[in-house]
Amino acid sequence: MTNFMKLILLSIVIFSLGACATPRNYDYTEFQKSKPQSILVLPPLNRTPDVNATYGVLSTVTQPLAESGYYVFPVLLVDQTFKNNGLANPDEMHKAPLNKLSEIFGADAVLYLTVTEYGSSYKVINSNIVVSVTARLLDTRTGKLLWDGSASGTQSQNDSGGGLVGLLVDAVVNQIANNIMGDSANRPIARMASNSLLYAKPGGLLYGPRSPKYGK
Amino acid sequence: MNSLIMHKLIRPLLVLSCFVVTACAQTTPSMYSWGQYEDHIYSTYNDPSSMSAEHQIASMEANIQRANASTAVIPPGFRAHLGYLYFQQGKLDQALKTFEGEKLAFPESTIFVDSMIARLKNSGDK
Repeated sequence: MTNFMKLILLSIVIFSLGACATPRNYDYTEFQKSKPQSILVLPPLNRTPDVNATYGVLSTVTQPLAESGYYVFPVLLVDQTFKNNGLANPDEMHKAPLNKLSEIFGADAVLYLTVTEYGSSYKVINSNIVVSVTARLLDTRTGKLLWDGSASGTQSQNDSGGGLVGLLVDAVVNQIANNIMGDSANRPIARMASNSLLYAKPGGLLYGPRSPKYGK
Repeated sequence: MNSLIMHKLIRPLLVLSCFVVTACAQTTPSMYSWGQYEDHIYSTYNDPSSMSAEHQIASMEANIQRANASTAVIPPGFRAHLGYLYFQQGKLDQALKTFEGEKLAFPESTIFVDSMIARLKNSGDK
């Protein structure tokens, strides 16, 4: 193993550890009062130029929420139900009144997501795939904010050790590879962002009643 | 030369870092058998040519059979989604049975699933 490879490995480990070492203090008073059992996830608002962002992210949220102990309404049926009722896009869906959502779905809480970054961002000497999502969880009956947060998934594609020229070549190669792979290259990164945002953890969501860790 | 070696290594390293990242986000074992549920959701919207409704139904039925043969649990929304696919295919009896299955496994879904069942019955009456 060359020293360079060791350095890369070491930096990956340090970055990864750094990623989970910083729980924040969050006031869970309203969350604990509300005790939601079910979460309705609306199709995310898309604040990126990429049309794939809404459903690229929506197709990664059920797993972390359900594994954290919540009933998660079937996201595709929810989307179709809105469309059948004349709400054609996420911006319209996010404006639907809470009492209406409660009546139609019977959900305890509603999760409003916004995608702020999705896909490749090209810089001069590298290119990254970044997916960033912000979240707000509201109690459907009271409208109170139960939790909010944000997270990103990143795949860095620089660093091949070929000096500046090598980096430039790599950046071009990566951009071409991303274009060929299309949106499927973004999917694991969207998954990373959703897992980081929506798995229950200190500072994040509390465990739901279906989790063996509920109340802990 | 160095650059070539690194090209070969960069992918396994990325995979490794994903594992490490996942490892700290998810410390408990999975509660549910997911099959390709979320992949179906993804492909329905962002890659519709990749998977037909029939293919999705077959894959979801296989996952339910696998789960029934073990202690695995089918996740929330899965049966409702499958019921909707049956509904779209005109397989109303199977749709109704699968919707009822969602309610039985997850009573939290009752209000929503009942509205799906009402839609189904309306369409059957026509």
